[in-house]
Amino acid sequence: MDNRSYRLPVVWATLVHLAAVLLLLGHWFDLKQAQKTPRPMQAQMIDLASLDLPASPSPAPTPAPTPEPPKPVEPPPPQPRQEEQRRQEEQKRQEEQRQAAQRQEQQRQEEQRKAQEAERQRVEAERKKQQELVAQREAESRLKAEQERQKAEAERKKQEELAAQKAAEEKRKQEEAAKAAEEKRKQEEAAKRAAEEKRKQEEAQAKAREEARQRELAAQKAAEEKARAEAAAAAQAAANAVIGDIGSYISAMLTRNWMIPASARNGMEATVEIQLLPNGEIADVRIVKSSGDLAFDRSAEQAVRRTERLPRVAEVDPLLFERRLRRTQVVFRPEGLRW
Amino acid sequence: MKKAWIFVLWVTLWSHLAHSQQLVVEVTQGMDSANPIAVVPFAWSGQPLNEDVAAIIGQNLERSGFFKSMARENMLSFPSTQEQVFFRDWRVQKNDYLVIGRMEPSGGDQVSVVFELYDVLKEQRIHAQQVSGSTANLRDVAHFISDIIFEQLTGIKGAFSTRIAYVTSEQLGPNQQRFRLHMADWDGMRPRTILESSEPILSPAWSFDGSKLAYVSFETSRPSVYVQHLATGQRERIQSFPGLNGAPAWSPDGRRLALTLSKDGNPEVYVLDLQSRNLERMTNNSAIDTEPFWSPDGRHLYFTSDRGGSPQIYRLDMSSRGVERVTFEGNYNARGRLTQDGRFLAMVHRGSSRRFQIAVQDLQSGRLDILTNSDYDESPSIAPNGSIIIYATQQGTRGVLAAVSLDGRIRFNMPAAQGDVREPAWSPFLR
Amino acid sequence: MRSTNVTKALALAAVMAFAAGCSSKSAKTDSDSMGAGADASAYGAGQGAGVGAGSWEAVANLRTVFYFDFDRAVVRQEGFSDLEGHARYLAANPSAAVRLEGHADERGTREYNMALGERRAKAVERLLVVNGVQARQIETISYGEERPAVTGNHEGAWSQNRRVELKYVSR
Repeated sequence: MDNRSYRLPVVWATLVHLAAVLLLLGHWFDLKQAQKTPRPMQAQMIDLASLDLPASPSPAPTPAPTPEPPKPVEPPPPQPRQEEQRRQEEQKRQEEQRQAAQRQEQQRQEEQRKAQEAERQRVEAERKKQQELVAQREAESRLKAEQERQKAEAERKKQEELAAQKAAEEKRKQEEAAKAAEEKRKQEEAAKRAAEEKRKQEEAQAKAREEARQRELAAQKAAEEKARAEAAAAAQAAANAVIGDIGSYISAMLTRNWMIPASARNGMEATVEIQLLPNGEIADVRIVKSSGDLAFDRSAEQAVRRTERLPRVAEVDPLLFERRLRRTQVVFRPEGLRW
Repeated sequence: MKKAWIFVLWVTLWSHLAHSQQLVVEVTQGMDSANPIAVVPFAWSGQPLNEDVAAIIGQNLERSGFFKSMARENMLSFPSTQEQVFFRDWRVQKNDYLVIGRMEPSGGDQVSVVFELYDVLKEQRIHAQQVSGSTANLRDVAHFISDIIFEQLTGIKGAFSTRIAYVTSEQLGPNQQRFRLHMADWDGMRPRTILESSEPILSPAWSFDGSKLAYVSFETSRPSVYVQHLATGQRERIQSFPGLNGAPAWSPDGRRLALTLSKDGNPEVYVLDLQSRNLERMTNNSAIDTEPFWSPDGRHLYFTSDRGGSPQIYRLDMSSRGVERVTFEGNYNARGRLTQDGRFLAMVHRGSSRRFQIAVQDLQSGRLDILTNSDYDESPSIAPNGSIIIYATQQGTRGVLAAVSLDGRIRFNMPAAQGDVREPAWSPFLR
Repeated sequence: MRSTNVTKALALAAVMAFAAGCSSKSAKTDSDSMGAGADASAYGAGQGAGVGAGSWEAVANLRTVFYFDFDRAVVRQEGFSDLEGHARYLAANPSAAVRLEGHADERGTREYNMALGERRAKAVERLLVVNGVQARQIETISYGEERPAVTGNHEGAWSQNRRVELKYVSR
């Protein structure tokens, strides 16, 4: 399995490399041919100029120094009249001399001009050759970059193909495994369902039996509860009657002892909590909700303190007292005051 | 599962029942009587004093309407220190509170007074304090102690150290009258005359800091409003206009004086700025508009007007200038005064009985109630703590001062002064 | 001049009579209080056009106190003729001047009564002015309930205290 997986890529890689080499070779031959094909003047001049140029090319041609302009010719000095002849001869000679000099000068100038022209041409050639060289170099680097890019592209493609191949293989394997698992699950489920079915049937039977039993029990219980509730209600009613009676009694006792202060107003309300003893004695009293009026609060507390004891509380069943009277709240809320 | 659910239900039900089981008793009626208090004579071993401090305290507390002082002859003992107090004795005699005290000379005419206040039912001491004063101003000491006790027991600031101003008139001859303006303690004691004239004096009004009195005097044979500084006796006549100049009422900030003037042909209410002397007319009605008084917050000016056919009290909103009628019950409601909390309006009221009585209207509920029981009651003036209303009434044909608590529970007459007494004006809290 | 005044007074009297309504009971009380002298002259002056209106004798016996109903400031009809007599005298004697003092009974509040007394004095002043008296000849003042004529807590006293007193300051 391992062998199989490597052999194919190796073959593929070799093929791809071979193809790349061939492609590159083609390029290379193409380039040779292009160089051989005769080119216009520029190609020729590059070869010539490159012979006497320094290896490293200057990026830009340096401009040639401008030649000095020719100096103006001096006029001949004047001659005296007495020696006219001589002077004329002299003059002629001088003229000749001058003309010769002039010619010489002209020749010299011509030569100078020619030299300058040559120099100029040389500089121009130099500049052109430089440009050619730069162009050639650029072309070379472009080519090289293109070759590299192609190579990288080929490599990438190869990698992608490899990855795709691998992924496909992987997927196939997963699918196979999933399929197997599904198969197994289905079998198990079927087994389970069968078991469940069976259990349910058993349960339903059991439930039916249990329900029947429960119904019986509930009916029995309901009857019992009803009897119990009736008894409790009766007891509660009796207790409530006692408590209600005691409540009115306490209210009447406190009414007799409550001195409503002058600052009391309708709507004022103070709540006190009385701590009673089973013998009806008032053990303690405290304000649990103030009316906001000091005199009113005091009056409520005093009504209780002044009462001192509530003898009829002693007649109440101790259990009932414990549950409902030991802590008794009294709300003082005057009605029918002037204000 | 079902069982558990039923159990939960049971528990909830039971706890609910148990919770509602605590007995809550309601008390809505009580005795219409004051708290009994015993003020034991203060111990003193020096020269006899001209004032009985304990007696003054007992009377003050009783007159507040909150307390009932025990008569001295009923006291079983006269304790002056804590060790001598046996709560049982005082409790048996149905006292709720007990005040004891002792006085000692403390050099010169100075006296040091120590007093103690007890809650008889709780068997506890509530308060103890030492006060000193001179033998000459023992009434001040007694009033001061009364203020402290009152506030300790009611939570309300005592007004026993305040003063009242009032006017008396005496017929000296067929055409000769003597009018006098007096100032006295709140209980009418220690009166002193601050103005005397053969022409009428009326409408005394305290400035809100208690330092000045404004009043109307006819001493120039025409009515003018005067302001008198009580400390110096120095006084000044406020502008006098043709016609009426009357019913001065200080604004709560003390900077303005509301007045009644008829300079424009009809009695109208004006407000005078005391600084700038700028006068502003507040009412404009062909009826009588007079007797202005301010709400404690200074935002309303109340006055009497018969614009509705009979004298009733109206209220002017100082910012909107809107006027609304306040009293509706009875055919005569005039000369009102407000409690310091602005809730109760005391006034002279005449209803179906055709008697002039002092009534109070609860401005919250609108309910009006008559507090006095004679035929010619007038000039109600309310204590600065709002507990008592002092007013003028008649005994025979003579005017006297009386007081009634705001709840009408207690009424008493002030000590008789010479002549026909009228127009009591209660000072604000002093100092 | 005279005739216009008389018609004016008559017209006003009619109006006032209507306004004052029937108050014969009070009128009796009033005349009682005035005493016999005043009573006798009261009616004589009313028809006494023959006596020189500008002379002091014409007003010397006229009533000078005019009464009012409770909380009212309307001059009662019975006072009209005497008031007209005073008006004739004052109109004829521009240098003469009167002071009108308004009063109220002691019921009701003092400052309100002060205003009521002023209103009563003003009511009398208007009657005089309507009858030709110049405003500068009249001075009004209110004493409210401060100067009662009679003391006592009964209508007999009160009715005598609700009054305007006309006093000559100069003749």
